Formats: sequence, C-alpha cells, structure tokens
Amino acid sequence: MTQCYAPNPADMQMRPMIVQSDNSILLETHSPCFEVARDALSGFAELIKSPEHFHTYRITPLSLWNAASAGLMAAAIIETLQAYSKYEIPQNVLVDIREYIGRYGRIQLVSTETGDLALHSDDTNLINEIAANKTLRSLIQKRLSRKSLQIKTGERGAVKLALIKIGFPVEDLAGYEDGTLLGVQLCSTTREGYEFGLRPYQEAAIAAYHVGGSVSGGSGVLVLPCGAGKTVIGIGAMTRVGQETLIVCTNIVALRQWRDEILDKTDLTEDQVGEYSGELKEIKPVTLTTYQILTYRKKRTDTFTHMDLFDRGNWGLIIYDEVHLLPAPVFRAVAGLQARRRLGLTATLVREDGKEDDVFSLIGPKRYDVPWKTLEKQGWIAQALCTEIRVPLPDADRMAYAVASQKSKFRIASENPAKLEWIETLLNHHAHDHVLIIGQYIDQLEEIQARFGSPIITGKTPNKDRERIYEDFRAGRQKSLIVSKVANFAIDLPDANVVIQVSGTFGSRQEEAQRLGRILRPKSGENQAFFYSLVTRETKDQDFAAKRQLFLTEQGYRYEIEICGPAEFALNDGPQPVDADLLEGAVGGCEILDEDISAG
Amino acid sequence: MKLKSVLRSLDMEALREILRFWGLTATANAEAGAEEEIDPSATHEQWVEYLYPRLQNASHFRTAVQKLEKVHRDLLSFLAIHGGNMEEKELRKRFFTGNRTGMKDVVEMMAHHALLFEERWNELPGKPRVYGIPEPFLRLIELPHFWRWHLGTLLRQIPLEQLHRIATQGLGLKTLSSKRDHLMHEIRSILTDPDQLRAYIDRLPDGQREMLYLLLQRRGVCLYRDLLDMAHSRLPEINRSDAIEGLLNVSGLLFQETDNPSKLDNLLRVPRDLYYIITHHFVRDLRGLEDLDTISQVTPQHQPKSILDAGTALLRDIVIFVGYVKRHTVRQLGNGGIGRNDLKKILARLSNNKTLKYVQFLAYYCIARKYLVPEGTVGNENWGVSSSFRERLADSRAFFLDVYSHWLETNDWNEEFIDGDCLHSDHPPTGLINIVELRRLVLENLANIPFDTWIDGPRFIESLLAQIEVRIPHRGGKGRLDKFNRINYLVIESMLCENLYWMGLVSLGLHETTLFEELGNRFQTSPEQNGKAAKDRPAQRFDQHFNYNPRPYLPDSYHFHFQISSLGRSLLAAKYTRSVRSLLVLDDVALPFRDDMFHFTVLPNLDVVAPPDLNLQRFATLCQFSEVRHIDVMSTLAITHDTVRAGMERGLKGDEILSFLQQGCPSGLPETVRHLINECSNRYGELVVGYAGGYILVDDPVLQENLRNNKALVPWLKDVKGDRLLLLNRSADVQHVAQELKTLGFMPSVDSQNVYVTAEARLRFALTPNDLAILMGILNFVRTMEEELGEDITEGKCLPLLNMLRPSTHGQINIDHSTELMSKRFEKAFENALKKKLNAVANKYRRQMRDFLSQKAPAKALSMAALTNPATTEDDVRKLLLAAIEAETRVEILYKRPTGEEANETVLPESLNGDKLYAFSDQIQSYCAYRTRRIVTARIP
Repeated sequence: MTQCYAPNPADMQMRPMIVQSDNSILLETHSPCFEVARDALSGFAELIKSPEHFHTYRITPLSLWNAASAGLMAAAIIETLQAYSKYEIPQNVLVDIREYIGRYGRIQLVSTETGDLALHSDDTNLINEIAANKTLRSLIQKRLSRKSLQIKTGERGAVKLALIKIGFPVEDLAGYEDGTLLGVQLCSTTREGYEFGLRPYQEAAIAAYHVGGSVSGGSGVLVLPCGAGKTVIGIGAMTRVGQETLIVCTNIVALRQWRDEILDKTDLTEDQVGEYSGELKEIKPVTLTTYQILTYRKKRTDTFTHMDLFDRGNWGLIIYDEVHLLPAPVFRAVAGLQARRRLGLTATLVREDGKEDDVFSLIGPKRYDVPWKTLEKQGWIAQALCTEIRVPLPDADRMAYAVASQKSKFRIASENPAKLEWIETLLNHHAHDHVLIIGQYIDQLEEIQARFGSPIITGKTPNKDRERIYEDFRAGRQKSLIVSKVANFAIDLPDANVVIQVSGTFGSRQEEAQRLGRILRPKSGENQAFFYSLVTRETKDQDFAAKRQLFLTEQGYRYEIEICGPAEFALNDGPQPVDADLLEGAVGGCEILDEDISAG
Repeated sequence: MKLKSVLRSLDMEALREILRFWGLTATANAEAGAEEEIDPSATHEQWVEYLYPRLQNASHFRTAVQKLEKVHRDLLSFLAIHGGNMEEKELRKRFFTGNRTGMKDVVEMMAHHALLFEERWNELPGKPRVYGIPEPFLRLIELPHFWRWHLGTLLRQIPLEQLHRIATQGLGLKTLSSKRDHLMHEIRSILTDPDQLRAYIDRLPDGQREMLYLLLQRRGVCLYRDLLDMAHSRLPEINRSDAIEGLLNVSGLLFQETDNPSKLDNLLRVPRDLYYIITHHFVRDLRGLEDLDTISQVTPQHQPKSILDAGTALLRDIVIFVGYVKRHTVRQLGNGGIGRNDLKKILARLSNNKTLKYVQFLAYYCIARKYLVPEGTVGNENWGVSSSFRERLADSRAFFLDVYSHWLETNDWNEEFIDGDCLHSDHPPTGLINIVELRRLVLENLANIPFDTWIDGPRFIESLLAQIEVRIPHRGGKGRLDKFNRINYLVIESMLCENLYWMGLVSLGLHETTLFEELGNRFQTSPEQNGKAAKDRPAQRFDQHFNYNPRPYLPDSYHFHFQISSLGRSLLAAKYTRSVRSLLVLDDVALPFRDDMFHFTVLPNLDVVAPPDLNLQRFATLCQFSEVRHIDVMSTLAITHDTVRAGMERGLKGDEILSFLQQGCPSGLPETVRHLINECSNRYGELVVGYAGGYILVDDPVLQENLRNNKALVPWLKDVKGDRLLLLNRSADVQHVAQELKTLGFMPSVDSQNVYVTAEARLRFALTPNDLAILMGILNFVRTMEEELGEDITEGKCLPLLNMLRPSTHGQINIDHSTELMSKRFEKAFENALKKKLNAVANKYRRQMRDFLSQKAPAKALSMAALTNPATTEDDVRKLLLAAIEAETRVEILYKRPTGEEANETVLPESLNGDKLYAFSDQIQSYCAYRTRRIVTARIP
C-alpha cells in the first residue's frame, strides 16, 4: 500500500526528517512540512519525546509490526522516509524496515481444535529456532507438527513477551475469552444536563484500541496527557466492548471519580457499578477496585488476599488506570490474563525502574499517543506556564546544609524556609485563582498551613474529610489547598489553575508531570494555568529539579527560571504568559503510596 | 559484420533516423569542430559515407548508448562479452529467457539504429542466424573486469592465424570460411558444447590435459611460472613448458591474459565460460547477463542481516579525537604513539561500530600530519594540539580529501601489517611491500563495479587476486602466515572492511554483527594454522612448499558484502587515479561535505543537536565545553557542569560560551542552559586547590565547613586555618583531591603543578627531591668552580640561593648527601669535557704549526731525483712516502678502499710501519691508517 502525503520539498534542507542509523528519527518542528511528516511517521514509528525544536521518533520492531498489521508495507515506509529525509538515509535502517516488516505474520498464536494455544509458522526453521530458544523452551508444552508448537496453559503472556524479546512479535490470533455481556451506552447529555460527546481524539483512541472488535485489537495502552479525558476514553472502550468490566484504579478517591463519571456519562445505574475496596466489597457488572486492595496481604509471606478478584467475575474487559504504576504482583497477574481484553491508560509512560517495555508486552502495544502540546494547541487542555523559582538558602541554614549527610541535604534544601516568602508572594499574585500547594514533607506542609491557613490533605486525612475539602475547593469556597503526594495523580480538580510545588520525590519525572496535570483541565476564559516549582538554589534540590523536569521538557514545555527575590517578582507582576509555552501535568509516583513522609 | 555493410543494408529513412538518434548535427556536436551537415538530397552512398566515420567516434557512440533503455544496453554488453555476436537460438535462450517476441522488438530497435546486425551465415553448417554488434563498436564497449575473459572475447583478441590453428590443428575442423567471425563462431560452438568439449579434452595429449587440470584447480587463473612449478618441481621442465605452449597456441582452452617481456610472468587463464562448463560437470552454459556477474549476486541466504554505514562521521570523529587530546593528558609512548588505554577512552566517544584500530588510524593520521605534537620535557612528553589543526577544519571537503589522499599515498600505514600503523609499533614489521600500488588497484576495480548493488566481498577479492599477480610482481607468491605480513586476501579485506569503510566510501553488509571487529583485522588462514595438522594435508603441503596461500579460512560468518556509498561514488567517479594533488583542487568532485552550516539547536534538557554539515571549527568549539553523547547522522552533545568546567580549565570564559551558543542557536537559548553557564561561570574558582604543601583555598566559610565535613575528603585533610584555608596532609595527591571535588559537584581551579605565582608575585616551586638535588648540585658545582678559579662569577648570588633552597627536613630527605653526589658527578663530567677540549685544542695547534712549518721551511729538502713521481708500484709508493715523511710534505694519493671504492686524498704522512702508513688526511681532518698496497698512485705536488 503506498500512501501519498504532501509534496516533499525539492530543497532537501527544507525537509523535516533526519533518519539516524540507530533507527531514531528526528523531526524538526519548525519545518513547513512538519505536520504532514508527523502524520506520516505516526503510522510506523513511535513517538519517544516531543520537546520544542525536535521531536524524536523511533522505528521499533513493534511499531513496524503494528504498521504491517495496518497494511503498511516496507516500500511505502521507505518512500515516506525518502520523501521527507533531509540527509541520506542510513542503509541499515532500510534493511531493518524490510527485515522487520518481512517478519510480520511469520509466527502466529492460534487456538487449536482442542482449545489449546499454539504457535504456528510456515517457516519450519523459525519454529525450530523458537523450540530451541532457552526461554521459550520452558513455556512450550509439546510439538504438534513441523510447523506448530503447543504452549503451556497460562503462559500466553510470557510466550508473547519472550517472542518480542527475540525479535519475532507474534500475531495473536487466538482471540479473547468473552465475558458476560453488558448492555451499556454513552449518554448524549450528562445527568446534570450538559451535552456530552466524545472528542475526535478520544474517538480515534478508542478506535485504535478496539480495531473493530477484531483479534488484532482488544489489548493495548493509550497514552494521553493529563486532563485529556482518559476516564471518558476508558468508558468509551467499555461501551464498545459491551461486556462486564473490571477497572483498577490508583486509590479510592480516583475509584469514586471513575464511578461518578460512569454514572454521569453512561446509562448504567448505581446497582450495576460496584466498588471493591477496603470499605466495600461489591462485585457487580462493572467493578472498580484499587491496586492497593489487590496487593494487600497481612504478612509479606502471605498470598495476596484479593488477587483472585480477576477470576471472580467473568470480565470481558479489564481497564488499568495509570498503567505506568502497575505494581509487580499485578504484573504477574496480568501475565496470566492474556485471554481477556485489557486496556491501559496513562499520561506518562515513564517508570523510574525502566519497565515501560514490560507494560507494552503484557498489557499490549501502545495504540495511541498524542503529544501534550498538540492537544494544548487544539484547546483540549489548558496552556500552562512553567516557572522554576530558585530560592537561595538562608545563611542560617547554609551551615546546617554544609555539614549534613548527603541524604539529609536534599531534605534541608527542600524545606528551605525562604520558600515561604515566595509562597506568600505567589498566593498574593494569584489571589483570584485556585491554587494547589503540593509538597513532599508533612512538616513543611503543616508549616505552610500554619502560616497561610489553607486546608491540608495528607495520607492521614480520612477519606470523608478529603472529599469534603476537595468539594469545597471545587465549589470555590476555598481558594487554596495544601496537598501531599496523595494528590499527585487521579484527583480531578477542574478549577485548579495554579500549582506551587514546594518539594518533590527526588528526581521523579512522572511526579512532576502528574502534578502539572492537576491544572490542565481546560479553563474558561484564557485557558491559562501556572506551575511554579520552588527550588533551593545551588543545592541538591536544584539538581533533582533538573531531572524532574525532563519528561515535561521532552513534551515541549519550557521552564522559565526566576532567580530574583520575591519583592522584585511582585514588582514585575510575575511571569508573563509567553507564546504557547504552557504546561500541563498529571499524577505521579512510581509506587502506590498513599502515605506521606512525616516528620523525623 | 562491417559497419559500412550494415549501413548499406539500411534504407534512407533509417539513415535519417540514425542521424537524428545519434545526434549527428553540426550544432549538436560543436566540439567536433569541422562537423558538417549533410545535404538532405544526398545519395544513399553519400549518406553512408557521411555516417560511417562519425558513428565510430567514441563520444557519438556514448551519446547514442546513453539514449538506449537498459535492456538495449545490456544486450550490447552481453554480446560484447561473447565476442560480439551470437547465434539467434542461444541469444534468445540466454538473454531473452526464450521470449521470441520480446527479442524481436529489442533487436529490431537496435538494428534500426545501426547498433546491431542480423545475418544468416549460409557458408557455415546449419546456416546459423546470427545477431552481432558491428565490429567498430566492440572496441568502444568497456566491460568491467567481472565480465571479461569469456571465450568469445578472448578469441577476438588473438591473431587470425592462431584462430586457424585452433580450428584446424586443435579441433580438427576443415575450415569453410576464412572470415574471423565465422571461425570464431565455429570454434565457440564446439567448445561451448559440453559433450564436444568433454570429448575434446579427452583427446588432448596427456601433458596438456594434466596442465589444464592443474590450472582448473587454481580456479582457471595462474601465472605461467606457477603453473610450471605446480608439480612440486622448482625447475621448469621442458615437457611442461611444451604442454603449456600447446594449450596456448592450438587448443583454444587457454589464453594469455598479459604480455610481459618474460613469458613466465604472464597470467594464463581458462575462459570463464569454459571453466564454468567444466567445473559444473559439463553442463551447458545458459547463464544470462545477471548470472555472469559473479560479484554482485546476492542470494537470499546471503542477504546481509546488518548493515554498517559509517556515513560522514570520519571528520567529526577526528575533531572529537583531537578535542579529547586537548582536554586530557595523553602521554606520548616511547614508540611515539598513544597508549591503548587512551585510545579506548576515545573510542567510547566516537561514532558507532568502530574499532580500536580505527582510533589508531586517526591517531596515526593526526601524528603524521603533525596535528598532534609532543609537548613537555624530553622523556616526559604529552600530546598537544598544533594550531594547524584548526586551520585544517576550515574546509571540510579539503580535509576529507587530505585524509583520503594521505591514506592513498602512505606506506607507513600498511594493511599488510595487522596493526596498520608501522611507525608507532613496538615491533615494526619488515619486508612490507609498497601498498600504494595495491590500493590503487583496488580502487580502480571498485570504480568499475555496479554502484547500486551489494557486492559479494570474498568474490570481489578473489577477482583481484589474479590481477595482483600481474600488476604487482612478487606480491602474489608471498604468503607468510603471520600478523606482520598478511596474505593478499586479508590485505584487501582490511582495505574494504576497515579503511574504506571508516572513510565512508563503502557500506558493509554482515551476517554476524559482532564480527565487524574481526573483518580485516585477522591473520588466520585456516583453523589449523596455529596447529600442526595442516602439514599433512596435500593442499596445505603444496601451499607451504611454495609459500603460497592466497585464501584464508572463510566460514559463512566471515562472509561479507559491501556497497559503494554515495560518497564513494562521488570520489570514484572523479578519476581518483589522477595525482592526489590535482584531486585536491578538483572542483568537479561533488563530495557531500559542506561547511556552510553554522547553526545547531540547543535543547532545554541541555543537549545540543548539531547537523552533520556543521562547520567543523564550530563543532570543535562545541566539543571544548560539551560532551559527545552520540554521533550519528546528527551529533548530540550534552552540556553539563563538568563539561563547562573543563572548558573553563582550558581558558574559555562563561560569556564567550554564551555568546558562541547564542550565535549558533537561532531558535533561542533555553533558560536552563543560560543559567547553567552563568552558574558555572560564577562558581568557577570557588575553590583553589594548590600544590605548595597541598591546600584548598575557599571563598566562603560555609564552603570550608562543607568540605571539612565531607567524608570523602576527611582522610586527606590535615588542618584548617582560619575560615578560608584547608591544608592537605602529605599523602594527599592534589590532582586526586581536585578530581574528588569535581565529582562532588564543586568547581575547583587547580594551581599549576610546578610553579605558582602568588598575589605578591612570589614564585612557589614544587620540586621532587630528585629535582631539588639536581638544582642544588648545579649550584654547588658552580660554587666549587668559583672557589677553584678564585673568581666570583655569579656575583655572590650562588651561595645565598643554595642556602635558601636547603630544606629543613633533614630527618626525612638527606638532601645534602644527594647534592654532594650530584655536584661530584658534575665536576667529574666537567673534567672529562675539559680534557677532551684541551686535547682537541692541542691537536689543532699541533696541526696548524705543522702546516705552517711545511709551508715555510721543510725540515729537509726533498730530493726528487731518486723518486718516481707519481709512483704507481708499491715500492715506488713506499719510497715516495718515506721521502715525504722526511721532508714533512703532503702527498696526493689515489686510495682503493676495501669496498673497492677509490678515493683521492691529500695526506701528510707521519710514519710508515710495515705496510701501514699513518698520515693526517686533509679530507677527513683526522689521522688515518692506510695500507700501502691499496695506494694506487701517490704523487708529491
């Protein structure tokens, strides 16, 4: 299949692509052909990062395999690259494209007549190679024929993982086990009477996941920015599958937000939506649970008490919210659930343990990814201005910092009392806005509360109190709110438009992004949000801040750096929105932590 | 068929079409000068006469061929390969895969343009229908080497008489025609028929058959000399020679590829198509054109799995290499090279898929071109960068051509030697032949292969082995199996898989990616090479006996392919064989090197992305304060605290860096980068680490406290003075401390290791005890001299300085004793030197006196009466010499040295002892001994 894109510029210097020998592709954003080249690339390359000036894509076996499954052939891909490449394409890239596309469909996972699963290939040598592979050997039950291998029961996920690792992604044609049917439809108006419909990119994401209900769809990860409506996409997928669904959330607040959204935007009734949490143990056609409850056990040596929830309902679909947080035990459970349709949702597929690939392997390939800045330009998320404010450490604390152990230095710097002056300045500056003050250390947050009197939510705050405070904030009765890392992600506070980050979890990139995500819901008026990160100058706090910002800078956000004093800042009337340099954020934390670091 | 006959066979319309197709108009061929247009009303014969000479013009022919489609051009090549003509049946089967209609269309089109003729040769049995190329065109078609040496072409090259001989004496034909084409056709028909060929070979005399089979064992190519030697006899035997001559003259099975003054140097070859038929158990040769190309056929199972493409990274790698040397301390080894550890560190920074030998090549080039120069004291030299390097970066095209031409012309980098660099080797190889000629041969062949397809590496090399035997005498027979003198196969493999790949002229296709480090960098010829089993195998025995082993052990994993890159195409198409100097100024060599890109992009995450065509001087500047992360099509560099500090240590200023980045980054400098550089600029020098006893000077008491409490530094700290100074203990290595501080994130500046100038302009020296002993020894010696001479030469400054230098650490270093010893050594050396000088002066004085006396008043009057002057016999010479000694006068002698060389000398004889004459030679300016029997003539002037 040859695709025809916009005319390629005759002047090679005007072309936007730079194809490198490591299969990465740099795309110049300033080129007049940027957009059309980007659309062309998205068919066969994976977006890695999208900072300003250059977006980075990578051609991977998986991305090529997905392209092949969509009917894109090697010749068309090469033609596209040649049309937009500024420099000569390294030959190995062309060979790799032909090679990997050529592997598509060479090995298939199929159901046998007896209901077992088998690997099948017309290439006997390939079957021999698989049979001889050390990892795969232990997952194979027996050889059915020269061209088929029966795999062990329950090892479907492990086999797929191993095959991807040896460079032969399997075409999974075994299909999925159907769950109990569930008639569910999206409403055209919400219960509060607002008009409701899926946005175009939400439709596209659902379609990319569902693939018309064919076996080539039904499993995968959707990556969209915070505030882009991933919950709605999950609900959309649920209506498209039309079977009983298990939804795994990060915490109970998020769980209830999911429940409210489902009831608000579908025709399901309350008795059809259950909550399986520490407080309730309901199993209904649509059941919501948390990673915490699934991984709960009394002792380290015990089995996970509630992990059998996966088997206790006849689920036709399992949705993993914030899939980048998937904890190890659930990972193992997911590996055994390959026969069920599954959907992962995330804004930041970044794991500090580097296991992003495992998410793809077990949940499914990345089906849809849209750069944050793209949605920002289209107005689906708020424009955010990020500012890093470098606060000097007061002389009185410098000596303490100097003599402290390496471990303590970060905390001393994070809790820099001079940050309080800045908070005051910023609160005054944003007196009419909804401000979230987010921090890592409870002592520091309590000190802020003592000074400014805003309510505080930490891990110790009872759920009822949390919901009340959130509600006050949403309703505008509270203009500012102090939150610990419990509010890093999955908390929906649509009106919040300012975040003041006073401290964070070392260099966690996804935490930074998720925190920014708290203020990215589209705003009325200028659709503007502000993200301030208070950092102690020339300390470890500053070093970690640089690392934290990487994900967002790779998404195209630019940090302004402020080194003046609060008085001067107030005099200058704060940061001025510049062009489209705005931020957005999301939830974060590489672990499921609902607790905070308390004093001492 | 003659061209004129072909033209005559065409009608007027066709002739006009030819005129148009070939572009034969006066205007279209202005360069032809005297080209005239033909009168349209001219007669047919006049048209023929007009066209005939013009069609034989090479440029007209090229123009016409370029207008043809590929299938037509291929047909021309196919026919040319087989001597210019072919029977219709065979042509249809082999070239048109039996497609009669397709053949008709192509042939008609060609015939219409006078490029092909069709004839029925009724004189021959079977009255064959033949298609052929008009004879004059054959000499205009240049075939690449892998299409040469088929029977048809070889037959066309031999004289008509020999064709007759082959037909009549060899094949026993009764010739029906005396035409060359007919004879060739007859001979070729018989020899390419498998059954007839087999029968013919069986009928050959035993000696000829044996020789033929010996030749076939050598893949059908062999030097005459080697063929004679092949039966394990070092002396040519007349029978063998006769057999070879017989094969050459009348068989049609063996041809002479070269014509050297000595026939023993000639290369003999069995025609390729006959070789194919015989070695494939006598099957008919039905190969089409593509099958005949034995080097660019890549079968599916040999499709390269991974491709290595160096692109245009070479120049950037050199810049990074030199930048590393500039920023780090790289020692010069005793052999004048750079240590492996340094090379390994550099390798990690260079572009992908490169080996240590690549870095060695870069080092060799930079040293040879004097871009790297030794600095420091003799015996303790480090490499520095010369100013000429930056000038060289001004023009990347010229820079590349310089690297290329240097490689092309040097023998000091020699692929025959496994390490390549002969200059800087601990054990320099000997007996290497001139590699330049071999390189040219390889390049010439590369220029003639298809550029757009993968070439089978081993086959390409095989095709060159025979040429080497012809082009480079004595090269072919060399086969020592060690890493110093590698066999030809491996030498060419090295050129392709190393130097040409490194320079980006070829891309490599490999089956085992991991093997790229071994290809070209090996010397094994077989797995048994290091064992002893090889001796017992006949083939090996033969090879060892004749010191000939042209092919290495080549398992599939070592099989490789290559393809000429676009850079290679540009260069090879530019007639590289012209002198390199002219190549350097060639403007028509369109190489993909540009210098006009001055912009790069600085990203907020502190990465710098530089395009491949970034001006190299700018790239070099970037490398001074950033670290190379990745070299691919684009170069990615990272700016960090450490790299900026390193830049500042080499003299860069923060605002210079900022200004450079702002100029180079039109999209704007991210805040993060600006702040980082400002911060580094402000902090640089917050600590000063010094050598005088070892100390750290800080500009802030908090910083002092910070350091004092740092666990990593505590073991080195001795004392704290005030709120600014930390003293290091004796065991602390200042450089190590500075490094540790850098690791901890500080930005120290380090004082000069040897001389430190204080703010008060006082100089503080750091000397080793040995250095101090030498210095004090010198001063002590001077003082002794002053005492002996009784003169105050140093104006009384020596003793106070000596006393000032004397340390108070007698308990640990006995410096006085060392000083005394050193002083005594100097005195002794001084006495020896003085004595030598006095002797020289005395001798000179004596000689001058002698000269003076001899000129003024001979000691005794010389009586010439009894002397023969000049003397030629030994007796006369002796008498003449004795008289000269007596009279203390000079003698002119013609002396024959033991080497046989004769020399005229003027000597002043001193004494004659036996047959030895001692005399002062004016030429040598010294006393010498002469044998009287070697004096041919002696004459007193």
